[in-house]
Amino acid sequence: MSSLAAQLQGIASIDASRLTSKTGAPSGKSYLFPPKTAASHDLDAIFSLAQSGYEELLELDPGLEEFEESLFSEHARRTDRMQLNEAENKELDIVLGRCLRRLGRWIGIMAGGKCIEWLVRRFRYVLSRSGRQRC
Amino acid sequence: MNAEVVLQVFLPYHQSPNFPRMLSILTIPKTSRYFAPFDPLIKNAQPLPRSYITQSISPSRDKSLRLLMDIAGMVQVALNDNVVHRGLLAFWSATMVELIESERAGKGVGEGLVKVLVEAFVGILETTKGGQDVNVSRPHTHSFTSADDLGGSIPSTHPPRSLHTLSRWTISCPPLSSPYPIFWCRAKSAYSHFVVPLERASGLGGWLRRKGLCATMQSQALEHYPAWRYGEVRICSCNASHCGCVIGRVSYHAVADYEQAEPTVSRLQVQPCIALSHTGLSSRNWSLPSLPVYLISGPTARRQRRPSLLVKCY
Repeated sequence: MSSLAAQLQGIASIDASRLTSKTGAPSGKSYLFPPKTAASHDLDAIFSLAQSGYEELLELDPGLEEFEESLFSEHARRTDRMQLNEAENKELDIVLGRCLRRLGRWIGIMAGGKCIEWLVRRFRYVLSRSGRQRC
Repeated sequence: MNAEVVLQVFLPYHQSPNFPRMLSILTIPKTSRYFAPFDPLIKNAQPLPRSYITQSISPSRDKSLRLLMDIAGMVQVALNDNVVHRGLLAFWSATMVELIESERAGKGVGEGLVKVLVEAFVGILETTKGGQDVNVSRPHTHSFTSADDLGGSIPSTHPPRSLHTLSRWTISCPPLSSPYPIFWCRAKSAYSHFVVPLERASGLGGWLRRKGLCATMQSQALEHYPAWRYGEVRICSCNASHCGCVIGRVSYHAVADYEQAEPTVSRLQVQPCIALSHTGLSSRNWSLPSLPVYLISGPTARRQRRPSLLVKCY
């Protein structure tokens, strides 16, 4: 292995292969879809789904706007938890927790489900921290 | 931990399909207080009865009380984040009441449980931004100016002399020291803790009896919300030179509308009546807005083949 390749491997996310894979999730863990169906939806599809749900929810609950940049934007779409350090991950967890509590009111409607699906698939929010490190 | 937040958010939906859908994909760490009660359910996740949650947080099951403190603190956390909603309140109230009932029926309510509950209740009561759904004992003020229905339609000879020239009328519920029920709760099983004596709802009894809804109303529980609609009201008025208050008692003297919303729920539109205790005058001729009241047949009533009553006002 060349020196450059070694350096690249060193900085690569240990989760990069999964994140750049077609399905975006190795276990098929999905809030909205059964595992087989979930595997056929890549992150782009889930992001589009989440966008529509988020926009619908914004009409009902403008307070959700504070999470747009961190969780529902193009920037958030590229967030790789495995490349964040521990402090950044903790910070993200706090934002995710607040967002989920806000979404709690809307769990019963599909728009809320779409947003939660995004949090589950993109940020693997249903895994414990140690669980994420095992991925 | 993420899994704990997720569980807290989804617990109010424990009886809906949303709960098992999320539970089935959760990874609960073994160190979590939620691991023991919820991890065994993941493989074959199903909607949960509330009794399972109540048993799980019971001090007899979890002697550390950590789970109980988590659940008891759910509303406070939601209040702090300004994300409280009725589903959460209904779940929380019903669970707390069921827990107290089950403990009372068993070895009695222990000191640890009392401490946790009191801390939770006091914290919530002290929260000023909770709104009417959270804390009905904090005064809700409905103000009327002389141009509004109330001020404009009170016959000038009826109010006490000291109030006659005042320009602003206010009706508020009793203060925190009120003996009236504190928490509003939508859960049917919780109503026995929200009893209001029959006389507080005088005026409804005759109508209900005619409808065959209330053969034994004396023994029925009556939930009310907010408190002032059934209890005493202070009618206060101030202007630049004078402030005065009189105490009135609220009852309902007319049912303006009625519909059967579903087999166990009836909806009434009732006309409140405020009687001024020291003058004997009443507001029957005032144009007070009517209030919706929901009558819900409870589980006890089904066994007895007649409805018991849970009355809610929104």
